[in-house]
Amino acid sequence: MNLQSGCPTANPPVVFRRENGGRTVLFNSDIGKSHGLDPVSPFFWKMLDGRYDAASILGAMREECEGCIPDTAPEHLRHFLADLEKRGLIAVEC
Amino acid sequence: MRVPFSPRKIDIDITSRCNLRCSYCYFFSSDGDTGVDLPLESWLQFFEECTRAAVLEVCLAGGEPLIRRDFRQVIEGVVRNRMRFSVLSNGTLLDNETAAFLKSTRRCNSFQVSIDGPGPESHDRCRGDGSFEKALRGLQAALRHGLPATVRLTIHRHNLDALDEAARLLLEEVGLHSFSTNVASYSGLCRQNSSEVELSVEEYSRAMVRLEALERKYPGRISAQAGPQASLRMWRKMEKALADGRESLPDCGFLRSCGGVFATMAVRSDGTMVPCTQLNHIALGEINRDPLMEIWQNHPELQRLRERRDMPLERFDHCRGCRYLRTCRGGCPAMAYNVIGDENRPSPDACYRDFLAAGGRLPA
Repeated sequence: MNLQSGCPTANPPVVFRRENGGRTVLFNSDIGKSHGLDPVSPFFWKMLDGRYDAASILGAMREECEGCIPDTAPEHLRHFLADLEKRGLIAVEC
Repeated sequence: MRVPFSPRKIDIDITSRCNLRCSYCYFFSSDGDTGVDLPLESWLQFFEECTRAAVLEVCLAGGEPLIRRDFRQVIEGVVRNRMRFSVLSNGTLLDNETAAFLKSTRRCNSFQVSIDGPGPESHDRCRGDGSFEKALRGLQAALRHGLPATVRLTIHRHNLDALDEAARLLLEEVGLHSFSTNVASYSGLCRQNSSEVELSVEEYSRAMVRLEALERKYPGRISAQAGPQASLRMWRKMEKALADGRESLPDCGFLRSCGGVFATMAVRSDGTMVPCTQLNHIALGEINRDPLMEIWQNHPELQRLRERRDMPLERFDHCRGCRYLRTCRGGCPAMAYNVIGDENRPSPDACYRDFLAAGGRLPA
């Protein structure tokens, strides 16, 4: 799977949930395990519907933040997607 | 304490029917015993709302959930909506086919069967003739198909002296990893049959002795969230705190025994949302009519129950001056309601001082 050019999709059994104090988790209902997210990742997660590749997600983030995204954002996104793929929480459609 | 965006879990009585009439059943004759079962379509619609609210699990109970002819479709609805499930059952209707189906969903967190003793003499006494054999058969079907089966043993007058044999049966013969205990308590049908089934203080003390011995024999394999075993754990902590010269324990001195309303909600079989299956007199709204998230976040009755944890025990006449005041959490709100008609008071059944005054003793 190519995370750079592919369009990641959230796997169907995965539920995005807000817990106490705004903490967010992804819950894989097939195995009953939760995976905690950092404060930035929910923005990425909402775009994982198979229509956006990594570049478009970063572009959307840049737009949301009026151009002020940290230099580390591409690396952050790459790590995030690789981690989710390893955990079976996403697949790449194209 | 902060409240999550939505309940993590919803306890649902999917039916008010049951093939048994256990003499201490908390459900029958309670406010949850509506005699109305919603049709499948209503539950399926509600499950869709649960998914939108990111509810992660439902616990299906009743009544006896397996009595519904459309039980499979109910489960399929849960699975389709990305939730996991637990089932609380008397076990008598679980056959191989259903067990295999439940296992195949990969979403079952637990399938709880009620077994009250090592044989028909202790089990059937309160549950009805023939129920032991059927429940055991159901449990074995669950285990055979690899379901995460658990057992709840409810302690009452007629199985108190059979606890050792029950533990041997469940942990050695049947091969369960663990089981949990509870006690017949003053709710539902037990209110009518209290003198027949509820433990006296002396019997409660004896149950604690037996359970402590069993915990030593089977370490970590017998648990309890209520009843003699749970009381013993709490009351020992209270005694130890005082013996160590500590006046208080963390999270004590207030009505803080129950955190349920911070994570869980419940629905009666007629579709009425309630805070808990044990507090089913507090109607919060109707499923598929009133928005779940709105109820969860803003209903004044839920807020009132959540604020319960900020009520200091010294506010209550009964507690004032008690040496255990700052090491006590006041017990279950539902039991307080059942016994004295007010969930916002300490529950008399959890009062260690009263237990001692009535001649109760912790094991030596």
